[in-house]
Amino acid sequence: MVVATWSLAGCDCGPDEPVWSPTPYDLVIPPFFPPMDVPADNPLTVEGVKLGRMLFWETALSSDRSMSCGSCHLPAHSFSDPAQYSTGVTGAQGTRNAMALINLGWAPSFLWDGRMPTLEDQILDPVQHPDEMNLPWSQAVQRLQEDEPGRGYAQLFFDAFGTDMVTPELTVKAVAQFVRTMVSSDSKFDLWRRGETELSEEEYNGYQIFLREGGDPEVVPGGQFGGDCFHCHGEAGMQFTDNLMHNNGLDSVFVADPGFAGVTGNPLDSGKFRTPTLRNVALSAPYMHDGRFFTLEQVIDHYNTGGVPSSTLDPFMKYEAGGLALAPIQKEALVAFLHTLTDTVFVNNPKFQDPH
Amino acid sequence: MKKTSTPLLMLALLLLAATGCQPDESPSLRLAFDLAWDGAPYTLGEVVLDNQGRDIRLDRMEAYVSQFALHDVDEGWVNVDTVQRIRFAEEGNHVVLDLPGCEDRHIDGLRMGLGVPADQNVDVDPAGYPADHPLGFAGSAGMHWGWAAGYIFSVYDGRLLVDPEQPFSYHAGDDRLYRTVEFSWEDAWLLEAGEEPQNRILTLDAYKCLHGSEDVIDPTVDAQTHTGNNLELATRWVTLYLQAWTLK
Repeated sequence: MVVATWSLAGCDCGPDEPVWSPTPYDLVIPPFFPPMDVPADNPLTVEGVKLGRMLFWETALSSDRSMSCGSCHLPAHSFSDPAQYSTGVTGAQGTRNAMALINLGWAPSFLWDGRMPTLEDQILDPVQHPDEMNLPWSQAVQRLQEDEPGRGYAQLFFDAFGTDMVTPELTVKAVAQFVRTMVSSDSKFDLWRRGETELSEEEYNGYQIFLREGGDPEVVPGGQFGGDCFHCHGEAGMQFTDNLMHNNGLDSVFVADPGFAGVTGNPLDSGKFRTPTLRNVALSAPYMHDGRFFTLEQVIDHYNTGGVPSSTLDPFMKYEAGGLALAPIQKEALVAFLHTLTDTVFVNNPKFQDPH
Repeated sequence: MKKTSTPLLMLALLLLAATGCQPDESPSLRLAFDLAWDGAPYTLGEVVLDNQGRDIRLDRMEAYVSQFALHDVDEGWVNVDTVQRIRFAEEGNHVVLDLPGCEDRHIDGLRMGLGVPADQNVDVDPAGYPADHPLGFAGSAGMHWGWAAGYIFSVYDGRLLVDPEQPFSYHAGDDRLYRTVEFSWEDAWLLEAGEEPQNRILTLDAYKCLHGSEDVIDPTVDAQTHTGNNLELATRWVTLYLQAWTLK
């Protein structure tokens, strides 16, 4: 039963008609961030974000009522899964590492292979996926409609969308609104960029390595003994990702996981995966689409060797030239810089935690 | 039907005359962008031959074009300021150039900047543009080096399919590598006001980006430039790139 919000004056709609008046959510865009392109059919509202947060943490959306979105997207790990592969309600495991949920309001596509064009599309999948929450949407909707969890969902849906009729579309819209509010902008690097703190000498050196071209100049013309990180993890919009698909030399064949080619059908996209953000990278191990690396040092060592060759290996990789040739002290500096992208304010933000 | 009185109609016409014509009444030109290899249409990913008969494949070709101008027979150069990102992996790359005014124009020249103009390049943050702007965060994804270094004007990536394969990557940027290509022709085109835009095609011959009359870039010798790390090669590449455009 919906507890109606009554209009007290100036309305000819009668005393029984609930009035829907959602409150626009004031999302503050941090300094140096680009405007967020929020879908016109799903504007942020205080009520929608509130509902989305409750649904994000709602275990009733899994078949055995044991898992929520937050089960695989843990706050302490920048809303990613510290396990290499997430385990679903049936005990089945996926084949890719759960990505960190951070600044997704600026992402043009979703998942490691970019197959989901919108956040709303992406959120539809895990609830019904047999290896994840394994609950048909018909049952998920029924549980929410009948308010099995006892959270007052009918009223919350009405407050958010003007109807107490729960649908999969409105459910994912609410979760998408919540996820769009998950903005990280308070790392040490952000503070430095805003002139509010200083980087240590080692961190600053690491930043310079991050920005410099890779390779030994004796081997790679113009090599600057840098990390070559900025090409794919650029600072534009403070996002530290180009959001594009690259083959970074993890494998020579792609039978197990074709990556972006599985979406486009184009062999030239084989082995390409989306560049993840480096924000909170120190918190979001393991790394790569299949979580094969467990430390930042392992990741840097991979790039330092240049990866393995294949027909779609990204030209930024230095396989032919023998890798980046970073010295141990440079690798340590790079790790120190990557730690400046850690935002504990974000991961501890009470607005993102489990409300139940 | 209610009739509009003559004085009101006259007033409306006068107001229209005083404020200029509607945008769709301006004479305009639609330029499509095509990719070719040695004169033949080319699709990224196709394997073709280089000047030594070696298999070669182009995987990515993208570019910024900007600062268009059309040469009006009577008025001279008329600037049509716009910036466009050309992604040759996608169909339908084009730009529509609307000329000011609502009179017919006779055009006998076209000028196009190859890259991003200096005042929009270095120290300009993509975050400052609307989300879908070609120079904005999403619009410039993969085409921006950072605040200090600016935009990547052109990207030309592929591999020479020899044994072992030789990847190559030529990325040109930096204000020093901004170039302007200019075309002129004798029989002026009539761009009629109020009519559909005339269609013309600008073709980039990717073969000529490596093989010019005065210079040839061999990927086995010169495989990579990101400009800042190899300005000399980037300059050579841009010179060839400039000469690789034709207008149909």
